[in-house]
Amino acid sequence: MKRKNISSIIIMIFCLQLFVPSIVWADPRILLDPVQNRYTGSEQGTTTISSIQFRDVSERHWANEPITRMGALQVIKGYNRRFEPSRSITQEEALVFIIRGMGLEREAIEIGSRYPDLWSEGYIQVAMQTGLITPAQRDNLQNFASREQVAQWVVSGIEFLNPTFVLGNNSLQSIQQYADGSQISSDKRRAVDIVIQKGIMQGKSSRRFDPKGTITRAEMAQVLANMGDLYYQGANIIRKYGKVGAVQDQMMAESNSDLGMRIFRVRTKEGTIDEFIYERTKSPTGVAKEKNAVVYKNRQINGLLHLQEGDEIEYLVDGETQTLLYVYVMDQDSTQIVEGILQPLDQLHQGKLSIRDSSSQLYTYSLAQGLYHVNEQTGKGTIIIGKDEHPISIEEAPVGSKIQLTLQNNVIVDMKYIGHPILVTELRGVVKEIGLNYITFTDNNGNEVTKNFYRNEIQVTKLPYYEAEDQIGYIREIFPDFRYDPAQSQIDSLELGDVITVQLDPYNLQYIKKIHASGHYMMKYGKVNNVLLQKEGEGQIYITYENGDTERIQVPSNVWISKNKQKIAYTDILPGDWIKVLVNQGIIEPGYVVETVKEITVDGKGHHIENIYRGQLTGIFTHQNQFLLQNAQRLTKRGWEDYQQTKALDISKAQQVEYYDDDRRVSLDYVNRFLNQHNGEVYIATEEYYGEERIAKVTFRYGREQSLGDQTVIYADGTGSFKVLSHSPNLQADKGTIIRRHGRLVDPENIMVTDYAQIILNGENQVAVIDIKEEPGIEGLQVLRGRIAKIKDGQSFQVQSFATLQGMKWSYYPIERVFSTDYKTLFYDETGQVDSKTFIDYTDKSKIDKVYTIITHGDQALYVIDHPYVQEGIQGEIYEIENRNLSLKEVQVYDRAKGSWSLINQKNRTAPVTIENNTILIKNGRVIHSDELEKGDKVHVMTTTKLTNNQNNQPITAYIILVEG
Amino acid sequence: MRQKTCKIVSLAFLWIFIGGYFSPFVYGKEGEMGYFGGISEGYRLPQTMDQQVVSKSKKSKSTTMNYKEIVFLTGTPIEMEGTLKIESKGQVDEDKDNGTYQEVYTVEIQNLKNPEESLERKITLETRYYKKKQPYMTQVIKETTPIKKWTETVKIGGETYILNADKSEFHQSIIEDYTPGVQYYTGAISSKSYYTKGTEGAGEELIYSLEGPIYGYEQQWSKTEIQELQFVVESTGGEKTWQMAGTLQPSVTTKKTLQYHQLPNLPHSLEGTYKEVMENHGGLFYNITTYHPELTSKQKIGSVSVPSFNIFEILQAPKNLSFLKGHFAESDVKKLYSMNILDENPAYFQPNQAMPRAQYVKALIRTMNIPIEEVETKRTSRRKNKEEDPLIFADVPKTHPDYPYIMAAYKSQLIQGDGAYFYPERPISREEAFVVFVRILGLERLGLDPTPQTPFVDDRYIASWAKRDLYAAYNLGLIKGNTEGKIMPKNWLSKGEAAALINRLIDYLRYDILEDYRSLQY
Repeated sequence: MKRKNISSIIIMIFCLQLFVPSIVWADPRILLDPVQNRYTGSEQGTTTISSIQFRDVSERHWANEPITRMGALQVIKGYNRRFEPSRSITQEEALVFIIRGMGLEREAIEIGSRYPDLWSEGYIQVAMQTGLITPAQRDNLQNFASREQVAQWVVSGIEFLNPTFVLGNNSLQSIQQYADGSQISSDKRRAVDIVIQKGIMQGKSSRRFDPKGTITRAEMAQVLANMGDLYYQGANIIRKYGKVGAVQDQMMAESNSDLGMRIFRVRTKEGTIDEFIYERTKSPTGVAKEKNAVVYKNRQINGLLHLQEGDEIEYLVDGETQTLLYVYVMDQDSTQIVEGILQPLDQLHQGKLSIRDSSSQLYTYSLAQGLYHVNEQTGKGTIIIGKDEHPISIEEAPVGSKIQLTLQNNVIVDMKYIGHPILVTELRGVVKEIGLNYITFTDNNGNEVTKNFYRNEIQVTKLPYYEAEDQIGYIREIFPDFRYDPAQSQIDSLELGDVITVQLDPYNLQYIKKIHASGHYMMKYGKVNNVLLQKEGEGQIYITYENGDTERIQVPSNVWISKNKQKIAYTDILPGDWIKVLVNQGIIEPGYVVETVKEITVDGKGHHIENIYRGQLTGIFTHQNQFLLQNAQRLTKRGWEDYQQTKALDISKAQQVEYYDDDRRVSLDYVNRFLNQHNGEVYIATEEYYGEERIAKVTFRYGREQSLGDQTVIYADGTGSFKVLSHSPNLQADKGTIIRRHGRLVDPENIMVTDYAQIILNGENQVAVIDIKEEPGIEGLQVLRGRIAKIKDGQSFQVQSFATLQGMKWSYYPIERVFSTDYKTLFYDETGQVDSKTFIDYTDKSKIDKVYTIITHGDQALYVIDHPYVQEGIQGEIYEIENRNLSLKEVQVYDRAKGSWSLINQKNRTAPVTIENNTILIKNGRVIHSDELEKGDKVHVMTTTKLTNNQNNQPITAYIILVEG
Repeated sequence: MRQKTCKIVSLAFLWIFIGGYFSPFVYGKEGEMGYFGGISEGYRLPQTMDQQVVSKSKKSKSTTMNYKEIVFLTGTPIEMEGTLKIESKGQVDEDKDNGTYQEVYTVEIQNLKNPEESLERKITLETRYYKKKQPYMTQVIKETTPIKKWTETVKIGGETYILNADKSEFHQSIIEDYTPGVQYYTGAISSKSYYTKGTEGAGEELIYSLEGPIYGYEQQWSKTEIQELQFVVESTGGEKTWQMAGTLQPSVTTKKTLQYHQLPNLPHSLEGTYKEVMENHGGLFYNITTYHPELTSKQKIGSVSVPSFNIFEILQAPKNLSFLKGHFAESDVKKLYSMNILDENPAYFQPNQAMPRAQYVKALIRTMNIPIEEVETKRTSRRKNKEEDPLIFADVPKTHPDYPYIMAAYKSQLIQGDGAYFYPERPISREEAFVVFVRILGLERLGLDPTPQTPFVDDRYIASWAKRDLYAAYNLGLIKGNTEGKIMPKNWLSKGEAAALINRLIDYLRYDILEDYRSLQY
């Protein structure tokens, strides 16, 4: 029988050993190198293990490891599987622990065996024998131990273990840092100083040591564990570090029992090999005996069988018996995440932080060094919560809020603020795509998320971009009086690039119940190069931004376009205009940006070219930013006027001023160096810049000047080459040409057929200046005369008959007509403007039957003027304006009889004209004031005087003046 | 002898320390053009000379400037020109969290076309303020009301209009936001002045109301203040009652521009130098929307301006930089040396070397003139009662030459390090450099928080903490990708590139930011 057993076992071993070489070890020499030490588990191992698996010390207890360690070393013991870690330790208990630590347990038990009822008597006697306590003190042993007492006993214990230990210096410095250092009993000072120095005990806070305070049993275990090498050396315990390289099982048959062994090969830190041996013997009676050791791994207390290859370990061995006492598996990567409510940070100076979990259990952990800082002297400290966060002061820490801790080996390596419980599932992100029933957005982590929705069920809120504030707020269902909510919207109002928050259906997280969106708007500013019309009120605009970038933007039809706060049409945007564009920007993908235009504002005043000058450059004042011109003249309708011998113009917009040498663009430095004393003409366009006139463009030319006057463009090829009627070769405008179109500088491409412009040439066919303007006319307004029949105050009036002015003739219509009036209608008589209240048809001030000149826009009366019936007319060109007196030249008189024009006077072709309070002036389709008349304006004047007889050059009273050109 | 020099040196340190402490981190100065719808030339920004020479003379607390205002009281806009004197009897206290101070505004202007028409105004304004200082923001809230008698006399067309100080009201409130490099402010004013015509008791009364927002900013290189006011003039009690209303937009700007002064080919030790020109300008637009019918169109809209004489100063000429000739970054590096932003020995400034983080931070601190605290020398450190700042970064001890700059950057929240280390010698990456840019301008809000994606093609290489600020910089127009749309966030910045970047930032602060504000007025 036995033989069979033996042979089968031998075969098993053989087989095992056959298997062995095919397993590849991470440490390839682990099996080959010689074994230096062999440590076996102890026979008490298993009982020790179960005795220290305390029910009241959970895995996550902060003192779990020191309690286990000291328990494994049999220094601390519990009772009935309970340790009572939070209870303050009594003097008696403390002494017991320390005496065990001194290795005097056997003596204590032996003595104690004589006192079976007093479990601690033996220890007390030993304590007295070793001088830890005096006989007098033994009566107080039921009291709680004070911290300073524990300190003293610990030091005495160490000194007992090895009297040759030099325990620090006697400077008593460490006590000084504590404000209550003076409260330490004088006989214990040295001991307290030593335990502080050696890191065995710490103060309760950075300023208090609390020498008379109590100490819990868990803290006691920690204190004992802190003794570390001081204790181990004294107690002949060897502490080593290593890594488990290989695990092998062996079975042996002994005389009367089966022996199973597990052998662990450990590569120590020094590079040598140690072996741990776990044995399990089974006697024929079935009783198992083990030689085991306490293994602390992953916060759990188990035996050697839980050790595995790859475990990095610290282990304690009884130096005398070579018995393995304790193995602590250091788990590099054991990251644990815990959550709890942050407790007040009063232990921060010790590097500890506490949280309380949902079952109100308090846990304290050590903080990684980089996460906190405490100023020793002031007690002020900072702590970092969250990666990439700035440190916050202790006062600002979110005490009372939920935080999440990332632990590694029970040390906090990261913290995150969680806050209060999350009630709804919300996602946030930026819209990338919207379909009929789905929406794709990029969430905050950069992932693309697609969710669905039911069009008729989803609730959408989005404030239009012009709304400043959300009036109703977050919860819209609660208040039954549904006020107008500008944010209530449809899914169609969402755009690419919107920032959204999405609430999901809690029963089906793929569906969205509510979306709230906010546009991401940006303002861009640039100059319009070209405008393309595609469909009704929509098109594309080519725009150049200030930094030189050009872009083509799509303008949809619902965009609000305005100028000077008035709404205008898309077709009113002109090349040369500077516009501000409000866009909603969406990033579809890195590198691909989509912008939706929301609003366009056309500059009213900005970049408006005020004047065009010519002259010669005589100097540049660099500090005062001025160009000095000589022989300067300004361009007016009649040509170059306003001669000034010297004129200074501002170039402070130096960054954006364009300088051209003929048709080449150059820099200010170039101008300064080469063109400072330029002989030829320089042409300068100025704009109004915050109240000052500043240069926008400067061109230096070399040729002879020739003025073509007002011309109509009959052909233009879109590159700046064009033709006019009175000049046969093609004219060429280049980049240096000053082209003013409706008041703004534009490029040569914008010269178009039917443009009406004033053209100045310089050189053969080179255009220096081309000033494109509107063709003058009076369209839009009608001039009428009517006899009042009825008046409805403030609303309208009716005429029984009226006449319209066309050219110089009145056409008479004997029919009634109604014109509407409103508060904007202005009434004039010879005194000037009169109150509209005087225009009534009752009382003796009634205006019925009176005849007025009426300026209308359709049926809306704009002006109602009381002045004489004017039939005579003259036309001429203004050459002088002084207040209300005009001087006209080339005056021609209209002969009504003949229906033709003739010169007023062969020799003196001038005529003086005066403007009265009830003179109406019309230019470019609107009524103007006399100060808008310019020299060079060609006017038609209607008056009462018969002029063919006007030989004496009497001033002519004008009642109607129409500016024709 | 040695002892004496020691003494002198430590005294000098002390002086610099104290001097540095009082260096003008001036709390925002709004109201340099008054709050009455007029414009002045504005205060000048401190020049390099002002910062280098600590003048012993007491800084005069009152400034007189050229001033223009449009007076609408009679229904026709009349331009009047003269002086504005501002006497400040105090300012926001650096140490205290709240307080009050007073200022006296005196206006004396007349119609240059008709000197008999004039306006005189004297108003003492008291401002109460409190500060809100958190690690993540510093703001000051101010409220200003008149205190003591507000006197005003206007003479137009032979008539005298006298302000009724008991009825008239003036109120203003402003918030100032301090970002590391720039101070921004905004607020609003509201005032209603009652004038009686003539010296008799009863009679025509004119009411002038003014209201509107103010905004502006101030930094090392330029400053702007813009007010967008609406006004209403009402005349009651006389034979004719009339009203007039319109908008007023006064603004004042100061900017420092850089010009190069080239010497002709002479045997001269200098090839050329940079000079900084200080340009002040005040401009006012007005637009009358409701008016007397007799107003001509030219009178309805108009603008006036108050230019000022530009002062300039020549900056130091960088020497020993001739090895840069022909290099891409020649001009950028020279400018930075001239502006005293870089001051290390040029021999160590090889433009193709990597730019260390500490040097970059130091250059930015000097660019924005953010105040630093000098490290105490051994002598002065004997007074240990002063609270010792904890060592924030383990690799930047107090003895590190860049310690004051890195600490200043840390305190103004420009940099954080990783909690324990700053890595001062490590080269700075492009994304780190741009992030610090945006932080120094305080314009992080122009990015999205958080930004899931930026418009750059290599977006996935951008660190998550940098995305928002890079997006903000893109929106500002400060950075653009390269021709492929890439921003290359992880690439290290060379010294030459860093110089170019800083110059770009300065140019933005000199010109672009000013234009953005002024484009509002169109």
